[in-house]
Amino acid sequence: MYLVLSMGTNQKKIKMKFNQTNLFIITFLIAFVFYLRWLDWHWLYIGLIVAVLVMVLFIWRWLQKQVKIESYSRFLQKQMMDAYGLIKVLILQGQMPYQAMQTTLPFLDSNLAEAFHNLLMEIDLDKSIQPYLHFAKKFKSLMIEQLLFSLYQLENQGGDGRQLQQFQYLFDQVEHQFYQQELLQFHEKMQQQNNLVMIATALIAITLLVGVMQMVGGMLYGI
Amino acid sequence: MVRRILYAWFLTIPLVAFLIWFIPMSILMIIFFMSIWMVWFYVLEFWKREWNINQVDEEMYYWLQNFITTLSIKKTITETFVDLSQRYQLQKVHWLQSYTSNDVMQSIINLKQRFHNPIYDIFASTLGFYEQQGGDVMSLFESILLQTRLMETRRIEVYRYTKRYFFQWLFLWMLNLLVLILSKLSLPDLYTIMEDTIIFQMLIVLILALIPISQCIWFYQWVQIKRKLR
Repeated sequence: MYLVLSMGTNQKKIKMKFNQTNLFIITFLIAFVFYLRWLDWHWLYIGLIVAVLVMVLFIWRWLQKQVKIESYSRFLQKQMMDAYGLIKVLILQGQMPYQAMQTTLPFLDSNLAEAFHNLLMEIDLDKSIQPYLHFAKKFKSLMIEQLLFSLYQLENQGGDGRQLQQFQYLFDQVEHQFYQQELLQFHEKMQQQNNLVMIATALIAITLLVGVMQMVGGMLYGI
Repeated sequence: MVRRILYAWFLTIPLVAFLIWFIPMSILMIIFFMSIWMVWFYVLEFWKREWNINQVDEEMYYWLQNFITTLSIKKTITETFVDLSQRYQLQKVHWLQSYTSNDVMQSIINLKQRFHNPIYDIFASTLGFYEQQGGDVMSLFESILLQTRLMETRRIEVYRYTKRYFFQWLFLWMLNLLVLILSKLSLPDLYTIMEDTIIFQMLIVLILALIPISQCIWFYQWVQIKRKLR
């Protein structure tokens, strides 16, 4: 969450967009109140409707924010998995994790590259596992924490054949798990695409129903 | 561009023909015609772009696999590159020519303009390392081979599912259109009564307009998810 909120967002741009949206909503609400008054509605009803509208709006915006945070966090996790893919290739070629992380920096999304850069600087100052754990906490993912832990082990315990094998196994498992999750999402989204076709089916049914009703109305009442 | 405009035209015509068959000519028709044409055009744009990305991914996979396998036999980068270039020429694959220069390493670096995947950068830098230091080709490039193979397997898997979902979508639309056609043919009296009403006209326009719109949304969603799986 911290990473999601603190990085990768142009705060000024978001603030401007936020203000514009608020201005639009307020203008709409004022116009709507005037419209209801013009229809001679009582102030009590108008107040209730506006209150309900505002509440719905707040809930909708809160949900939208949650979805945004969730999707951005998934995006960062995906970026991390891609970065790990490259790190794995470099480690298997004989590079140390620190060096591998440095090499992958140019290929990362700017926000993640910045986070990685900070991690490398923290490692320079503190050789314990703390910088790795601190970095992993930002993602709130156990998979990423595990991988960073194994990176630390590789970095500090030499990285012999057995450790490399363990790292590769762990990485492959985690990557496979992540890929399966994404694939599941792919299936769900693709199945959702048939919803529009279902809407069209419903519209066809309505069309025919309207026609039949018209014909029956014509026969019975001569409409 | 011109070709895509024409393709969009060919996709629009059947829908407009359907509309003319269902409801009398009106101003709705012109609005429908223009908007559908534009939507199809965007769908084709999407499709073209993704097709290119897919093709380049496939080319990169085969290029890396062929290069590393040939290098493990030939041992020198120049011989490997020359051998591969000749093989590509024989297969009438021409994209490689535009990146070729006198220096083989420069040609490999030039290919970064085509293959934007970071794995290609790592391949190029590993090749540079191999050129200077030498070593065992298979142990140096094994991880790259494995990673690209994994990427290719996933790419193929996603495309297999994509085909399945696309045909599912197409089949459902065909069924819908069949229902419309059959009801028009079997209930001509009903359609004669309905065709002058504005509700019917609006509904038919909406149903037919939903075809390219849902295709557009389908492509958009597919592109978004596919990027996550790449």
